[in-house]
Amino acid sequence: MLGMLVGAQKKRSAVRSVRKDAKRIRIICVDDHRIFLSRLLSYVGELMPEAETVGFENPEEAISFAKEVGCDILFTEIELGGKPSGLLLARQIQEANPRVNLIFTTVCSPNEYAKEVMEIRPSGYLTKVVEMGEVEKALQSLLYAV
Amino acid sequence: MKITQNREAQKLTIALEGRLDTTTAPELEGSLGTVLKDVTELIVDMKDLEYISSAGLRVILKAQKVMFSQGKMTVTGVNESVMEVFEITGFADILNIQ
Repeated sequence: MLGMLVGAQKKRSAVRSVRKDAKRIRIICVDDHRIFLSRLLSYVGELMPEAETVGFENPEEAISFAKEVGCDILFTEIELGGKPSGLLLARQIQEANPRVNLIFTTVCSPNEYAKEVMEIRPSGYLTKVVEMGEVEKALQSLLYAV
Repeated sequence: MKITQNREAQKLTIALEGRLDTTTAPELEGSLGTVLKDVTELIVDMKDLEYISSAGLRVILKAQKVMFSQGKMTVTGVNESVMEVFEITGFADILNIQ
């Protein structure tokens, strides 16, 4: 398992590690608050230790990574750096892989971006502060098999 | 919960009194959704806040995210029990608490 990887400097090593085992489930977590990102990575790592789990604070790095090596499950905050960049991130990763499971872990109330979220059709929508039990339930009810 | 607002130009002080939980958090969220426009400095006075739940934390974090892009936010008067919640949840590292 890769463990927690955050930021551009570690991205290349992550890519190399993932390529060693192409069949592993690939999970990307994105949050602009490192403390929430670290916690989410910890939860996912514990719940799915067999998966390759990688974290990013920057959505553009996450998109590059996903396009390069693929993504089966994406956890992302909707509002990143003061903008709803998580929605754009979800759409772009979905375009690359229509069967990606999208799970929002967000500060936004469900009605705030309701139309956009419904169009994206995520597997889950978790409002912060996210607890491990909620992540577990979301992983148990994915739209697409991984 | 009682919410008191005091605005001086682009500085807004919001004083919270009582419990910020699942029942009362939507009220605060609704207030913040309309009053934060053009605010460059937000002070959240918690000296009379007795309790904060996960729902309340979400609203505070939402305010922090809004203010991150348009100014600054400071939380003041945090009592011991609320501070304990901030520390357990990691909010103590995110918020500017004075």
